[in-house]
Amino acid sequence: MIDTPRPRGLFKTGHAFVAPAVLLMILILMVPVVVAAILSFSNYSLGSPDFDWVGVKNYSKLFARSTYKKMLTASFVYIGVVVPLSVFLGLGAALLINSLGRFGNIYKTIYFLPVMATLLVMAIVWEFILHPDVGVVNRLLALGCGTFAETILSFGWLPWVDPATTFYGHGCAQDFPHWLGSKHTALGTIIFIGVWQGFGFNMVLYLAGLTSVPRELVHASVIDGADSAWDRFWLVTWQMLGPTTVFVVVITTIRSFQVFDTVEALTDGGPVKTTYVMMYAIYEKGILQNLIGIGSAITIVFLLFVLAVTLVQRWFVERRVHYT
Amino acid sequence: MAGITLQNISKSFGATRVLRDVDLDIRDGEFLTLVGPSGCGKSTLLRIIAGLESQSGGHVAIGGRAVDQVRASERDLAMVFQSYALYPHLTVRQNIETPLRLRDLNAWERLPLLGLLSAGRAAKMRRLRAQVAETAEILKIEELMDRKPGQLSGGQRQRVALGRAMVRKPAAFLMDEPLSNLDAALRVHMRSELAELHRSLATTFIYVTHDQSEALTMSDRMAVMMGGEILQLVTPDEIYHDPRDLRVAQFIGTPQINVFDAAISGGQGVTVNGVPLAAEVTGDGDLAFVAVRPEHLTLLPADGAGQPLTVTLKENLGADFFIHGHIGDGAAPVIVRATPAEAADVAIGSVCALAPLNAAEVMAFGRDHARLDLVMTGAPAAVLERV
Amino acid sequence: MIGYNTPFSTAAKHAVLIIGALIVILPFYIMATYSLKDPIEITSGTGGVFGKQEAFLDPGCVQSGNAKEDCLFNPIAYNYGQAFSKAPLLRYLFNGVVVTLSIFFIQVLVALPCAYALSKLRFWGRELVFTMVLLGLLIPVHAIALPLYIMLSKVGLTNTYAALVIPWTISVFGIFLMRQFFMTVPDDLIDAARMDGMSEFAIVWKVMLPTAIPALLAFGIFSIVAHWNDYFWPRVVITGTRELFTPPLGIREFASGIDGSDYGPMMATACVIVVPLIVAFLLAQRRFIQGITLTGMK
Repeated sequence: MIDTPRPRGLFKTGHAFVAPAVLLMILILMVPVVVAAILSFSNYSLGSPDFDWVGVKNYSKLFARSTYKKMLTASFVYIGVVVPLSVFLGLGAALLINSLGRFGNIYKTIYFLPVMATLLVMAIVWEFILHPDVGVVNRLLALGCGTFAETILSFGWLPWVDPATTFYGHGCAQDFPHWLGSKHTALGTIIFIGVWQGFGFNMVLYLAGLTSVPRELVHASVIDGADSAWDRFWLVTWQMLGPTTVFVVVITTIRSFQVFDTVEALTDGGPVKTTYVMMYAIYEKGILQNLIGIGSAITIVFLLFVLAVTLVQRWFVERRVHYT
Repeated sequence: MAGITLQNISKSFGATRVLRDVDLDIRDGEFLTLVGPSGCGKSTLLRIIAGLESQSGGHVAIGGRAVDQVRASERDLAMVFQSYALYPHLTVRQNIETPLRLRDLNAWERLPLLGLLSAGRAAKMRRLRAQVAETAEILKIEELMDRKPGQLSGGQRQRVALGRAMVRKPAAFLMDEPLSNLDAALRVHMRSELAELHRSLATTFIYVTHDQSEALTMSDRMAVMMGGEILQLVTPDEIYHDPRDLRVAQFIGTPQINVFDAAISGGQGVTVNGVPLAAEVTGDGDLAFVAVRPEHLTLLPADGAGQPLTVTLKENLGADFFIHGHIGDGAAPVIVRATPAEAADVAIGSVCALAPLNAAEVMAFGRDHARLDLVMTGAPAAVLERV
Repeated sequence: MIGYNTPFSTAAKHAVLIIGALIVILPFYIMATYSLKDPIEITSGTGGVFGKQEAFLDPGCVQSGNAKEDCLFNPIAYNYGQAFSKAPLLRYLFNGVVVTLSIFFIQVLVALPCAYALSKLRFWGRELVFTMVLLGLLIPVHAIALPLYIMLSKVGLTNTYAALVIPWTISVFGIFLMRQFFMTVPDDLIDAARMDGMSEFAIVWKVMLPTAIPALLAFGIFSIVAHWNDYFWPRVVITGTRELFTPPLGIREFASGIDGSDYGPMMATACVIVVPLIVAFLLAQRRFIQGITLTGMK
């Protein structure tokens, strides 16, 4: 190699090339974290010149006030349901599609559509579908009322069941749920949309993972006596998908932490804060109500959660180092 | 232990016929090798025996029992794969244990935690552990038992794969190119170990390879396959010295056998490259080729009585030399095996003489590649004169 | 013989997948079909898939004093006409395009030289910069929206295009991705370019950029889809000025002020926003799936 003469000073081309990126990383990623950390100990608000340092008051509020308890509950229930469901459905869809060969591709396309579509727009469409009066869902449910379908679905045919107390019987007698308006169903509905939107992404990752399961290993398990599809799945497929699963769970968890669009458009965190997730809380407290201190404290807690998830992932990856 | 019988096995993938009515009778306890170029159908045949693939037609019987409808796991066979196919997440011990667990424990007993509650599991596990330990001892892999396959060398993985196959004491072992992922030295070493293992286990081995040296060194009998058919199934010795098909003669033996054009002239008399050979073809058959192994050709000095051979290449293998050349204007390439003494005077580009063919050492083949029988007439040797 | 599908199991698998597909597709179907129907068909749930396409009377139009015959509309024309006339939808779309393209353009401009330097140049502090990149991967930009918003408003940049673009100008993920890609480019190629007399700057744009096209394309799809669909950040920094609304903000405003007769136009707006990406996805499925699942390479 010919060592081309270049300026020998401390400053090299490399520095020039990374300078814009470094500057932006500091300004846009590092400084805001520090700013949030500092402001979380204050009662700062935009537009007012004075503010006080309030110590850890913002943080203690987070873990004491019922609003924030509800916030943490909503966030963790959302994550706790969306992550397993969308991972499980993604895996299930991938396995089914994979076993169908070429015909499976059409399902792959369809299941991936929600990942592509603007979530906010689709949330608004869902709101319309779940509308208590003109929505398709409740209209479809009402169609069965008064027919034999009501008898079956309200479980009136079971001697120990009072049809008026079952979901369907009650729905026909009074009305069907106001999906997004009732405190019993609102979070469930938001969760449903989250799963609807996200499982196709997991499916695609699992499909990619499945192509890397060696055929000979599956055959070896057959010879060894893994006769049922379940035995083969458990002995080979699931194990080989381990790294994919770790990744899928982490990605889905971090995405679920950030749920905002559906909540803002459909429930505004209500009813009675049942859907008051962290991102919405940051938005409402910090931006809408200009309570920067508490908003910053939530931001910091949020970042710590994301960090924890990533550390858990690293630990898993390290543990599986001898895999390949 | 059991013999395996294949009757009229055929297999097609779509319009492609991979196997054409294969009949094969594998004796109890023998080491049988299926050898052939890639794509000849040998692996497919093995996978049909294993039950990993279903045949399009024909029957498989193991130990006299028809197994056409029997699942792979219930055929009482073990298989060693080219990639070893060890479970990467399990330790060596668990890998070897797996076939026993799947066979001897029921679904309930295999459950994590819950399985521990079932009565009788402990006794089964003890028996199973003993079998694993015994296998490990035979293969001398005891110190590897708690490692994962990723921490083992190729040779060690190979042993573990053998252990997983052995531990069940199967009726027969199926091996699909098990040595092809090892380096050359280890491969030669494992050949003798496998032969040793076969002797001590006295179980049927069915071994698939594209490497003729593996087939020649280990087998009791070997089947040469081409184009979905078995061309010949005999002992390695017979395959080499008495091939019944020109393609077999060409596939087996390094360097490749020399093939000359031959014809019949004047009644039954044979001519090779136009030179008469003191032999006649008995029976029918459209003689087209005569083949001679390189070690059966002899070089004479340039002034000797023989056909002139222009030398193009000299390969030094230490104990032997391979002299490459061609007769006349280059139409017929020839390889001669020579001792270092014989090769000493031969220079590349020089012309020597090829000694007359010994009719006892040439093999005649028809236009359809089938072997034709020769009987010697008159003088024991013919002189290949200048064409 | 393994994983062999009996006709029954195949049918069962298809049945499960079809039920799933129907649920997944339901909102897309509703969105499309309602954008074709008149208000009565929508509220009464009639009209089949395409609606009867009969002219209907717009009561709002009559109330504002127009003649009855001027207020008869074809549903499709009405819905899509209203979508573009009731709100400046074209403007929103234009904003969306400007914002997503500027973001992508600047991301590449910043990331490419940085990735090149990190993978192929030696300089003091290289490891430090790479550590920063890895740390940056841990921080979701949405999570630090609040301090970013405060900083932007301190310099008076809220309610500007700049506010929409600035937080996304640095894509640590893009840098990481490109660096991994450049690591696989042989050093010989760069040395050959240096021998030919190219400057380091020219090498980035004339040698590295062309080799990185496939990775760049995937990253582009990832970036454009993410920012076209983003709602949170525009919601935070754009308040009031419709002029700067991106498509999601536009339809949100539409939806919040809705009454019964507007469902058709709203669904038409939804279609206009969602359809371009869906069509692009259907045309180049493999590339899109590759791009969107890029995060899988981390």
